[in-house]
Amino acid sequence: MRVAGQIEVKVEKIFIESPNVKRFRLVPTDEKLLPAFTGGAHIETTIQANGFNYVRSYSLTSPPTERFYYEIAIQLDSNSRGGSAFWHQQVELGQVLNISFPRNNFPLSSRGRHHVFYAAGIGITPFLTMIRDLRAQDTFELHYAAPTPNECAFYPFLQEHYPDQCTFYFSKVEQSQRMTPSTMATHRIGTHVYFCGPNQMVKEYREAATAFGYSNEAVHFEVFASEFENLPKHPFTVELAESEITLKISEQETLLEALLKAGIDAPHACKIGGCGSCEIDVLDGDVDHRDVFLSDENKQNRKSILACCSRAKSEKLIINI
Amino acid sequence: MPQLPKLYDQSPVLTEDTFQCTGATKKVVVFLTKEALSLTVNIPTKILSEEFPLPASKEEIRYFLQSQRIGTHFFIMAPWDEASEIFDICMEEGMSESEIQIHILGAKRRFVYCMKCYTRKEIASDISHTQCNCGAHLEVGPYFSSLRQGYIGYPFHPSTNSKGVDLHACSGTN
Repeated sequence: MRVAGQIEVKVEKIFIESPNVKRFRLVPTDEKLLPAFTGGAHIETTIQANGFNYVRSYSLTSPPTERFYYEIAIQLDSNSRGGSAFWHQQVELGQVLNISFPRNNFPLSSRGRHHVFYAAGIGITPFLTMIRDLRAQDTFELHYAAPTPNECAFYPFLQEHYPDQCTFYFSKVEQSQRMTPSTMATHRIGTHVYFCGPNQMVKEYREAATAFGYSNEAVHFEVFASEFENLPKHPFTVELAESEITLKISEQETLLEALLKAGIDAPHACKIGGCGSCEIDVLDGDVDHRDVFLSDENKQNRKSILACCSRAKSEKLIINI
Repeated sequence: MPQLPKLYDQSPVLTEDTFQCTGATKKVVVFLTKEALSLTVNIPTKILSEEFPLPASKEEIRYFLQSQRIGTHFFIMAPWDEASEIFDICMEEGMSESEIQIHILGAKRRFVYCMKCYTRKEIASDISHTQCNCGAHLEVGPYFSSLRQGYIGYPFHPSTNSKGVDLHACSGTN
């Protein structure tokens, strides 16, 4: 029986996509069909090993209509906090793990008529499923930056299936090419742009899109980590209006972590300020917004906090939970 | 095909004034009928502008839209039916409501969708109750359904109405 939201799977196959990227095929141990999903969806993987609980989110790369298995692609991160290193060095065929049902914080827009995807490195993964979800009348372009063809995950696949739509930019080859936002400038109306890559790249492309005249509704992005994680963190106090509990949030922890530690079932998903699942109403106090989910206007007008990453400007917040 | 927004009397794209530029505006296309020729549209000189005279066929409008680049915003000055048709084409071509402003020449139109007989009926702009062609008394809800192309009309039994509404005052136009 599948416990709500969790599916037990085992690693059935491991493919080498590039020297730093492995693709893992996961099949359900109960041999039931897996839930279908939409392009851009991800799963949260949980492996318990060596006394650690490795919980990580990865985009699905298998076809959205494939119900017998899921695939994820993982890049070995040189700054790995354990997740990608564990997957690359210790996960073998037959490894059993739990995964969440698919979630999608980065869906394809059903309003756009032309879709332009910009991927840097492993940022290619959500686009592999989004491309398959496009309607017949929609058109797309994929711009993909990697150091070399050899280090470009899914390069042969993309060349074979979408040769006319893909443009590759290799930075460490003889005639190197840099992917730049300028290719966004001349698209027709009804174009939607999508960015996935390191924070700095996503920030640069978002700013360029705004400057070129894209509306907020036409700009979509996904980041790997919180854009503001390197900002200084100060301790603060939170009063929970409903339960009348007071929590002290230390410099090292987030509001969400403190809530969960206190046994409060606070909703959450991405944990990097990108999806809005952990938004909580604020009754009093000033919020230091550190998310990319709320618009500038919302940050000014909406009295709420994203518990996974935002903090307090004032010493104390009163939140409605 | 997803359900696209429809033009309605409280639509955020409607304006009583002239075109308002935003930071995203790089070019303005003014769709205008003969009646609008005498009206003034203040577009800053640094913004490119172009006029598109109406009437025009759907195909002509669609072909023109497909040749326009990101950052182009539209200002439509036309009677309701014509403006509504251009708005629909803009939505089909993937534009968002923030890229369009509409100045209606003449009256706006308003519709209610009956939740008893599932038909649509035109109503005056200032009424909150009406009687549908099927006989049902409807309270005109606040929600406009793009799918039904009208405000949702909730049937109620006149004898149980506790709001003190004078039902004889209910009216509508077909």
